[in-house]
Amino acid sequence: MIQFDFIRPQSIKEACDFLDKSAEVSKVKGAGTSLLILLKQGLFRPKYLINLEELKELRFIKEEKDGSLRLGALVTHRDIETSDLIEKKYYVLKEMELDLASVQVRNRGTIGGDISHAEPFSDPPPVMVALGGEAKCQSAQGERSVSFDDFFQDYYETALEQNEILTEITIPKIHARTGCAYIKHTLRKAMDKPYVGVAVYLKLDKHEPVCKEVRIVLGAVASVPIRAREVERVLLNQEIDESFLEHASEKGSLSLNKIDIVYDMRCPEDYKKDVIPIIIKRALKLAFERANRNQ
Amino acid sequence: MKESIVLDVNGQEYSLALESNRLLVDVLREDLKMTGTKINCGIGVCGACTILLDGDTVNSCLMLAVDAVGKKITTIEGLADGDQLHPVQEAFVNHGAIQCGFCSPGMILSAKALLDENPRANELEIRRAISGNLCRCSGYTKIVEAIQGQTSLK
Repeated sequence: MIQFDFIRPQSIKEACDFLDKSAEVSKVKGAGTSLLILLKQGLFRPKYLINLEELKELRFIKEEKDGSLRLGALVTHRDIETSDLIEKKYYVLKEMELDLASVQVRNRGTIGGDISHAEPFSDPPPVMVALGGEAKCQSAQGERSVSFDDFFQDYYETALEQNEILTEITIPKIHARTGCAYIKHTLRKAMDKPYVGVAVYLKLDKHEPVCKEVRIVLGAVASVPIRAREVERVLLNQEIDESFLEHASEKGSLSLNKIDIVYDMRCPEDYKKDVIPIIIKRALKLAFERANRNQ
Repeated sequence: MKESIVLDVNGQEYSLALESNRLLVDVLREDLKMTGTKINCGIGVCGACTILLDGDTVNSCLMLAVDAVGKKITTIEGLADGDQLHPVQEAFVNHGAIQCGFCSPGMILSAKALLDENPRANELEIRRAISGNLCRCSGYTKIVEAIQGQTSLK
């Protein structure tokens, strides 16, 4: 295992200040459940490992007055999985966690660490994009918010500058007549990364089953989460029922041949292309059911 | 550079001088000679290195020893009370849930953590709770039955 100096900042400000002076030779650590694997493999050789795990100020789950949800970056996957607030009002986040890695990993791994790591075969990124969330990026110079639409830039690359730390995630309120779903398609029953992950945000008209807003985001397909915009186009402003959702999934997915499917050693590209419309259909149906129930 | 830390393992405090890059699983096995915790995949997918940290299961191969300072570590060695096996260990023995035994320390700790939190767990909850512990011998049936034997007592 490589040598490094283990830095223990007592506050996020201290962490940002230290990172600012050492950005090129430092790595920031949450729990380290992903980072340690890379350090063991020698993929990174930082001089300093800046440990955030002790910063309790970054481990909070708060509902704001406007109904939006704020998650501190050091909230663990298990915190999200077991939160009553999230189960009640943001169930799709719990759904995202139910099949994520294992209890052991979820007990320590953080949502901020997961998202900053931006691994292509990961569950949270498409959900964050579908929910229209924002990432707060902090540095010694201040802070800025980046929409998740822009946050994931390439595999393992995000909008975070070298001297920035992801400190918080904000998810806008999920209004009435809106349903969200995340379906993780895997071959194994457990301990599998997604082959295809589909996150859906579907908002219906106040009275009619007409699609007013929809976001369908595919994970584990391209190097970053991508929107299934053709399917969205078919659905928007249309009256929907189950069979229309099926039709939209199939018609819209014909455009998927243009996607650059990221190399996945577990299966050929064609497998993903065949499976994507089916998982989209399933996720849409689930979101539609939930939108109807969410009055 | 070594730093002096104190680790609380199975209720006892150990003063150690450690490099900050030492993994917790290595320190438990090599420095504290507690070899019940196993090293296997090294990437947090098999659960053979499972220990309890403040009662919650974690992969000790993905932790630095310094990450565990100030927390209560429980290894498999901490379950039995002298010659008296912990009820979960007893259940594993009685149900034939141990074959080669390599997964057993991690599996038993996962079972204990589940039962401490959810003493009436159903089969689905049991299988979810142990999904981070791989067993190459058993097919999991006897393991699940051993744990169910414990839940049916509640």
